[in-house]
Amino acid sequence: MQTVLDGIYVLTRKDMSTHRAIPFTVPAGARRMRISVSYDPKYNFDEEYGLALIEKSMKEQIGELIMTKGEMRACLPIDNHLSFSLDSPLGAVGTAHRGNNSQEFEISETDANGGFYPTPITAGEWTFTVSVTCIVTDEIKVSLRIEVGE
Amino acid sequence: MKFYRCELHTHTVSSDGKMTPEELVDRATECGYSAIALTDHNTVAGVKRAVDAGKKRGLTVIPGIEWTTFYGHLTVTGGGSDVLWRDITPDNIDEKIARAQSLGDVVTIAHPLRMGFPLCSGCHCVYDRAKLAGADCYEIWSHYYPNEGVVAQKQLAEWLSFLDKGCRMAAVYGYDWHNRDDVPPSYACTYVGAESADGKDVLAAIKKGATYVSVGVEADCAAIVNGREYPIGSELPAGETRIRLTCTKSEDYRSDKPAELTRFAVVTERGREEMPIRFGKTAEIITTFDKYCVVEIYGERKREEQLLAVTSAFYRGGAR
Repeated sequence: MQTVLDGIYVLTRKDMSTHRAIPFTVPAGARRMRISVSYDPKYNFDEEYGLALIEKSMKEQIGELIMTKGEMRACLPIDNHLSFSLDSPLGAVGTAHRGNNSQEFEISETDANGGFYPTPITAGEWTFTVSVTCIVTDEIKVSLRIEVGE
Repeated sequence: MKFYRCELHTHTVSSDGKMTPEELVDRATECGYSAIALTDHNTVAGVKRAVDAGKKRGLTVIPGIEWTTFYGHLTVTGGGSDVLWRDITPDNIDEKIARAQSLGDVVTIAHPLRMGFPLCSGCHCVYDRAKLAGADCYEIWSHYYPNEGVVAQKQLAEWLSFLDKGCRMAAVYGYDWHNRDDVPPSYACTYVGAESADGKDVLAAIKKGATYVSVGVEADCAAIVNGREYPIGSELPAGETRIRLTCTKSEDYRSDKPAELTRFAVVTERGREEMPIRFGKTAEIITTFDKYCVVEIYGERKREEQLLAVTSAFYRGGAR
């Protein structure tokens, strides 16, 4: 496999509800792609902060508290959530939306996993997009490696 | 026309569900649904497998997706939409809804008032409600214990406010089914009044508004005007309107079945009128309205009186 992208990307609270597009180039002759992506931290273990944020958000969104302190505590630790999308020169290749902070995807013309669609590994400009669904820590470090091969 | 038990909001391992498409279909068949919609978050990767599995099991699987945006979630069912979720913004959500509908899909506002950030970011809908007015359906109930709690009450009130503004929005339930073993005893379902359980018929019926949501009650509800009977979702002619209701217990409901019905209410833009009702008995309310008329059914369940079923509306005043 040939590595076509290997990078670390830092997201901060300002990136909440944004899409970070990461372009990369696929050479001619590739037939399959492997994407390894992970991010850290997943959780914010500060209980006091977590409880206060849940309570404040609940009042703002629902207009009242609909959970007891014990029920809120059961929701801890609060966590970061990122979604990942892929676009080839031919168009959208799908989205991976799940809570795991370490995921690996394999894509080819006949198979794909994790929310992506089978697609030819066409030579040209591709884009991997990190969508920041939720960030509850000061920053998130995203490690991304994309490899292609025959 | 027959009312079919449907679950219109489900997930698989293609997003954050725990079941494969085949496992979801197996479980839905065991639970007695006539049709389900697969609505994975921002992907249709599992649809083909689910549809194929459904054909083998005799279960209708409607292709779909859940637009899981930063500002709210909408399920889009039918498989025709070409909208890319990342292109959706608070400014263009109305155009994206219209685009999906123009391609034959049904758009549902999902769990709009559920708690969002930081527990389920994006789950709480912050879109301008005026830009959601063209949606086909509103999930008035969702997830566990759907008819209980403050969020369900607020969602019911918000849905009625859409109807009051002249919107034609069907009431649906969305279990938001993620895990094989997490079907609780108190789940609800959406009953869809369709010509058959075929996906096209089910979607056409939902678009017409021929639905009701229920926990354990099967409702035979019609409006009678000038001697003619109209099903839920109908545009009614002018005239005295009799809302006729007969209810039975759902044989498919798992547990926590309603013990007995207590009353039903006809809710219109003018207010509400109520009448006692029991299982197996037929009752009628004569009402007058200009915009919408919804039926709420109450009964004793878990040793307290609860709202057990809500119908979509009968309408007056012309199509939207």
